[in-house]
Amino acid sequence: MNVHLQPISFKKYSLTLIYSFFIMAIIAWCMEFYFERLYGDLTRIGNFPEHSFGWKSDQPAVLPENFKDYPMAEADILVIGDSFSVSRVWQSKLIADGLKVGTMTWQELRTDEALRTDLGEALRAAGFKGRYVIIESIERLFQGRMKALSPSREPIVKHELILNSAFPMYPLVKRERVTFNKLNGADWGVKALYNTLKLSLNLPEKYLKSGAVQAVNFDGCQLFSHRLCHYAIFVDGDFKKETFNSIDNVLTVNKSLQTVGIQPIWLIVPDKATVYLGYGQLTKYPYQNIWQSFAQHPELIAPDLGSVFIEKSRTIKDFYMPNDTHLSTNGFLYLGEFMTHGFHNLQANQANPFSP
Amino acid sequence: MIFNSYVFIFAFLPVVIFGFYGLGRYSHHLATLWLAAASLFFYGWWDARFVGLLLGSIAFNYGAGYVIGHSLAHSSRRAKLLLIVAIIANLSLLGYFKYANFFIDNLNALTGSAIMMAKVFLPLGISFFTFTQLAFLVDTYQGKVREYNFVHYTLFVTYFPHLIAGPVLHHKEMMPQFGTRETCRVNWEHIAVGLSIFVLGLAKKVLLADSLGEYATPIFEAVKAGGHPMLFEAWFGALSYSLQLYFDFSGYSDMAIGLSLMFNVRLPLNFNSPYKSLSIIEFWRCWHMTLSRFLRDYLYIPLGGSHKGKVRRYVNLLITMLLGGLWHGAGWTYVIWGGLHGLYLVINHGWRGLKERMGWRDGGKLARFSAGLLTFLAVVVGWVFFRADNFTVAMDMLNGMAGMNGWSISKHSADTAFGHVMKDFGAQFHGTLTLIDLGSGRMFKLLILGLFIVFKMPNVQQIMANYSPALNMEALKKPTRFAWQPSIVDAVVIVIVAYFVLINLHKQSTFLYFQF
Repeated sequence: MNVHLQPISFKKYSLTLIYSFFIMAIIAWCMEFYFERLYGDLTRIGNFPEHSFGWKSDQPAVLPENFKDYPMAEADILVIGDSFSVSRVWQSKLIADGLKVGTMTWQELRTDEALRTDLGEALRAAGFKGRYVIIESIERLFQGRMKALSPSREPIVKHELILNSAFPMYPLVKRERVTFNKLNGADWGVKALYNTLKLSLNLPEKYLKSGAVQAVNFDGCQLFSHRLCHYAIFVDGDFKKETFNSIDNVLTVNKSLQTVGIQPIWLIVPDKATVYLGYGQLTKYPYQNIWQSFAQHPELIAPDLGSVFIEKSRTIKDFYMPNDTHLSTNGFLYLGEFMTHGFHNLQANQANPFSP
Repeated sequence: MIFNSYVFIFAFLPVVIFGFYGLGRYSHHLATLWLAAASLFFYGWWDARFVGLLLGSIAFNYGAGYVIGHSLAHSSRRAKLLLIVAIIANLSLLGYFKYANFFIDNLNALTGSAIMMAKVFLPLGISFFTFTQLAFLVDTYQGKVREYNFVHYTLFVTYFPHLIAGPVLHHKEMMPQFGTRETCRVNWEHIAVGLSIFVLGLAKKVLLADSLGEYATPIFEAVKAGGHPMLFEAWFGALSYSLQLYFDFSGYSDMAIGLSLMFNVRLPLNFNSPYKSLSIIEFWRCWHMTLSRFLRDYLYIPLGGSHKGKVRRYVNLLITMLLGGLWHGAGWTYVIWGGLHGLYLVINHGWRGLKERMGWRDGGKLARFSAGLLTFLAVVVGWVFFRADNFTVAMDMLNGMAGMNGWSISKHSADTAFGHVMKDFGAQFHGTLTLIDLGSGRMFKLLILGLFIVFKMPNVQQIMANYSPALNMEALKKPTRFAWQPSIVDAVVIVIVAYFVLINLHKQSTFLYFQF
C-alpha cells in the first residue's frame, strides 16, 4: 500500500491542516498588505500590484457641491459620455463657473451605445432646452459607437444622479490602505505575485501581457509617480482599436442636432497609449487620427484633445493615472478648465473656441 | 459573522476552541458557559440589537418549559394551558417580526385600506431559534425533557454552528452531549473529521454556490425587470438556482456539522443527496431533514397524520406543506411553493397507493431513471416559485422553460450548416444568454460540474461515514468507495481544496437560508 495512503494519527492530520491553513492565510495577508489596496482599473484587471503601479503624489480634492447634476429640462449643457464623464469631475469646473451641466451615459441611450439618427429631436422631446450637447467618448471605443447609427425611436430618459455620501465617484485624494473588510482577494494576489516576479526579472521582451492589460517598457519616471516607473500599463483595447472611418455618421448626428438649435461638441478623449506612446504606436489595425478627421470638416466642433493631452502630460505628472485607463483628478480638472475656457470663447463667438 | 469569512475562520473559531478546551481542563461548567457566551457574541457580531430579543426568548421559553415540566405532575390541564400560552407567545413574536408587513400589505390590497406600518427588520435566525424552542416546549409537555440546566439550555438554543440557519435541533439529542464531561476534552479524531467536513462544506459554498449564483441572480433579476427569458436562458437560470441553493444550504449544514464536531458535539444530518431521490416523498426525507422532521412531529402528526383516513391525510399534507412554505418567508411565492410540494406529495402518495392496489412492482433502470428525472424536474419547477420575487416572474421563467419565448443559440452558429438546420426549427441567433451580459461558457461548465457532483458523487457525510460525524447517520444512502481516512493524501486533497477556498474567500456572501 502506498505510504501516503496509510492512516496517520488524527493529531498529525489535524495539525497538518491547521498549520497549512494558517500559513496560506498569512501569506495571503502579507500579499494584501504588501501589494496595497486596489484602486486602479488596470491594476485590478491586469493583476498588477498597487505597490508598484499606484500613484504616490496626492491628488487635489474636488468640492462636493460642484458634483451637481442638472435634470434634462434645466441643463444648459448636456453631456453624453462614458466612464470619463460618469465621475463628473471635469464637469465640476463648468458647474463652478455657473453653467448648468447634466450628464447621461451612452448606455442610457439604450441603443447598444450607438447614436440615433434623430438625436436632436429626441433630446428636445425628452425636455432638453439647452444650447449645447457634448458627446464624449474614449478614442478606442469611438469607432465602435459611431460605425452604425440607431434607428430607435424610443423616448430618451435621463436618470437622475443621486448625490449622497455613498456616491462612489468622488476621487480619492490619497489612496486607501488595506483593511480586513475590503480585501483584494488572494486569487488576485497570486496572479499579482506572478506578475511582480516576472517584472522584477527585467524581461528581455518589450511587453508583459496579463489579462486585458499590457505592461510596456517605458521611460516614465518624469511622467508618472508610481514606483515601477520604467514600466507603464495600458489596456489591451488601446492597441486593438478599430480604424476610424465613420465621419459620415458624425456629420449626420451633427446635422440632426444643429437642425433643432443644439450645438454639438465632440469630445474625443485620447487613449492613454496615444498620449504616452504616440499616435498609432503598437496598434493592430491601421491608425486613423480622429481629431485630424474632424478637422477636415469645419462644421464640427471637436477639440484636438490628442495634441493637447500629449503636451499637458509632459508637464503634469500623473496626468493619466499610472494604475488606470482614466485621467487623474489633476487631468480631469485640467480638462474641465480647458472646456470652461472653450465655452467662454464659444459664447463670445470666437473662431476655434476650443483651440489650446 | 458568517462561516465563510476570514474573521470567523482565523480569529473567532481558534479563540473559541482554545478557550473551550482550555477552560474544559478545569471546569466543564465554565467551558459550556464560554461556548454559550461565544455563541451570543457570534450572533451579536451580525446585529447586536437583537441579542436582547434572543436572550428574552430564551429566558421566556426556559421559564415556560420549567413551569410546564413541573406542572405535569400536578395538573396536566394547567400544563397544557401553559403550553398553549407559550406557543402563542412564540408564534406572535415570529408573526410580528416575519409576517406583520406581509399581513398589512395583503390587508390593504384586499380591502383597499391604507394602513401604514414601518418596515419590521427580521432578526437573524428567528425562525430557527423559535422552532427549536417550540419543539422544546412540546417535548417538555410530552414528558421527554429531563434536564433544566439554564446554561446548557442557552447553549442548546444559541450554539453558534446551528443558530442562524439550523439544523433544527431536538432538546433531547443535544442536552446529553452538552452535559458530558468528555465533551470538553480534546478529541483529535473529532477535530480531524470536523475540520475536513468544514473545508468541504466551505468549498461547496464558496466555489460552487457563489459561482452559480453569479448566473442565477442576474437571470432572475432580468426577468423581474421585465425581460422574457428564452428557452436555454430560463433553464440555465432555474438549474443554476437549484444547484446554488443545494450547495449553499447543504454546504452550510456540512460546515455546521464539522464545526460542531470540533467541539465534540454531533448535530443531526440535514441533507442526504436529495436530488438523487426517486420520488418527492424521498426528496423530503433527504432535503432539510431536520425541518421535515419538525414539521412531521409538531404539525403533521398533531393534525392527525395518516391515521384519519386518506382524504384527511392529504389535507394534512397540504396544510403542513403550505405552512412549511410560509415558514420560509412572508410571500405568496413561498406559499405557492409549499402548496406545489403538498400537491406533489399527495400525487406521490396516491401513486404509491395505486401501485400497491394494482400489485405493480418497481421498474428497472429505465423506470428508476425516469422517476429520478421527473422528481428533479418537479423540484426545479418548485424552486422557480421559491426564488422568484413574485408570481409574474415565476410564470415568465416557466414560460421561458416551456419554450414559449422562443429559443436562441450562439451568434456564431448563424452561418453554419447546423445553424441553418436549427433556423428551420425556429432558432434565433442572439446568443444563449440574451438578458444578461455574461458569457455562457463558464456557466455551462459550472452546471455540468454541479450536476455531476449532485448525481454522481457521494455526499460529504457519506465520505466521512466511517467516523459517524452526525446523528441519525443510519439514514444515509449507501456507503461510498471514496471513504475518508486521516492519510497524507487526504490531507493534501483537503489543503488543495482549502487553497482554492482561501483565494476566493474575499468574495464573502451570506447564506441563502439566513433570510428565512
